[in-house]
Amino acid sequence: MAISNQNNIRWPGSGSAVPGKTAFGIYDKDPVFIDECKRAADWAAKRLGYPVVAVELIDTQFYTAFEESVNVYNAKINEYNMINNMFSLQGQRIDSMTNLQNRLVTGTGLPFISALARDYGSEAGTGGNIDWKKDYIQVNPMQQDYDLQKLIGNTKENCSHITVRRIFHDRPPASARVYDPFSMTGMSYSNVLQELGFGAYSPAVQFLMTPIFEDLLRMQSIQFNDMVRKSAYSFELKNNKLRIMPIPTEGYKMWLEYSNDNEAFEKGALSPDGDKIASDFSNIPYKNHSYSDINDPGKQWIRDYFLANCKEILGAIRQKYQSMPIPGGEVTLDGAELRAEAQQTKERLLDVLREMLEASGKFMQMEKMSQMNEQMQSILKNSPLCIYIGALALCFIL
Amino acid sequence: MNGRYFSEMDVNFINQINDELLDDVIQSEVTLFKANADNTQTNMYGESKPSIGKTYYAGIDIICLVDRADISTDADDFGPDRKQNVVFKFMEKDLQSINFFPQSGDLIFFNARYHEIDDVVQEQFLGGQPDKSLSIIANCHYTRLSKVDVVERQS
Repeated sequence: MAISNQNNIRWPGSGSAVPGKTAFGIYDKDPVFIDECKRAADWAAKRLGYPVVAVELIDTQFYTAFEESVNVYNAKINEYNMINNMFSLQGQRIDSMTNLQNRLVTGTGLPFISALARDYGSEAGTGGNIDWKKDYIQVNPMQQDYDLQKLIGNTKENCSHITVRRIFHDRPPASARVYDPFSMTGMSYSNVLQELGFGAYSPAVQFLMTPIFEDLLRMQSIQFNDMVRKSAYSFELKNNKLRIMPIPTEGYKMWLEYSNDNEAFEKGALSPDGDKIASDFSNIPYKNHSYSDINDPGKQWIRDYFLANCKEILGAIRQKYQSMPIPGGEVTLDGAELRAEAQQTKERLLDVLREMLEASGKFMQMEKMSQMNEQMQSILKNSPLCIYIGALALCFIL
Repeated sequence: MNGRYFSEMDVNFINQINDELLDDVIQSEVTLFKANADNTQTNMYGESKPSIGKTYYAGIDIICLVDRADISTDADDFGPDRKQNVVFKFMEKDLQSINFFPQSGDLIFFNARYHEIDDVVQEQFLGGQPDKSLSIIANCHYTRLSKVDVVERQS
């Protein structure tokens, strides 16, 4: 005589309606998912021994396991897409990337690489994201040492550390010191310059009268004189402390260029678009594919993973107690075996999926295509090659 | 007071496993006969036997586990005497559902033989909790048909 009132914790042979019974309700509006979910539960119950043996799982557990399997499949696909397309997607505005899961990403990632390279431009002073600011310090007679951090960083950059980029400390150029004996004689030099498009060009205004090498020799003479007979203009810069040579004999403004290190981080290292861009793996807006959009091989993978999930849950249920009490004794159920089998199956399925995704990635596909081209050339090498000359076609067998 | 383990849900699960094991896998069906004390004639020592009017209620079928020892046969001047101890293990909830508590003197019919209950053990508590008693075990001995002298009647 069968005495059982425990039907509520074993598979009764069919499940109730799917919507509302899954853990997250992600696919509850997808009719294909709903239909498949019920069929999969029936299939898995039979694969686990129903109706010959009782299966201690109920519909909500089957449905949740199925939803989890679809989620895992989606997650793995999207993870791989993100890895494959990371250079193209990182740094893009999130609101411009809608329905990313259904779109082919064909970009090369060059814009992202260019953005990465801007920092090098900043360092070289040829582009980049940060400003080189220009300022000056007042050089005093007989004072060689100046603390640029105190004079500029602490006063004008809100105590931020600065990096000095350029210091304009040199002799006046020789061209500014050329004496032109013909200046202001004869024809007005300004008229001559204006006529030739060299307004405000000061030295050697009478160059029309003399060959250009005379100007060069004269300037070279001045520079050699500076170099050989006078102290060299130079400076040392250590930790933003400047020592200038030679010892200044008169006061003047020394101009320099610098950048603010904090700004270098904010503008250079941080994207100017704030938090509205895809910054990393966590916020690239990939969403789950609808179950109905997944192709048949994908659905079969999901079913296999679902069955492993069911085995794992059933194993956990049957293994809660090491042995199950029966009248006057105890029995050991097959929970451990079910869990071990489920674990192995899941690992194998994940490995297979990973291998398939890697094989279908851009890099591997290009490699395969390259190999295919080589093989094709090898084959075509032995095919007859036709050479057309004018209206005549000559055929050579190589 | 409920313990941390063997919650109501766990007990349900254990009952479910046992139901499947007993009802669907093992399927050892026995018939219980409760001694009818009110209609039984006894002698001056309170003893009874079928010949003087020991009666039983109608039998009730139930599933249980049966643990049978080997049959031993003693041969003496009175002829061979077969003996066998048999243990019948019931789910307590099954007995409750038919409102039957086995007692010494009751009969259990199994394998075309009658077995008289010698004593009853009710000591298998889940998690050691008396309110979660799982089984009732009846220790019996194989009794001779002539001793029982059961006559089936229309109920």
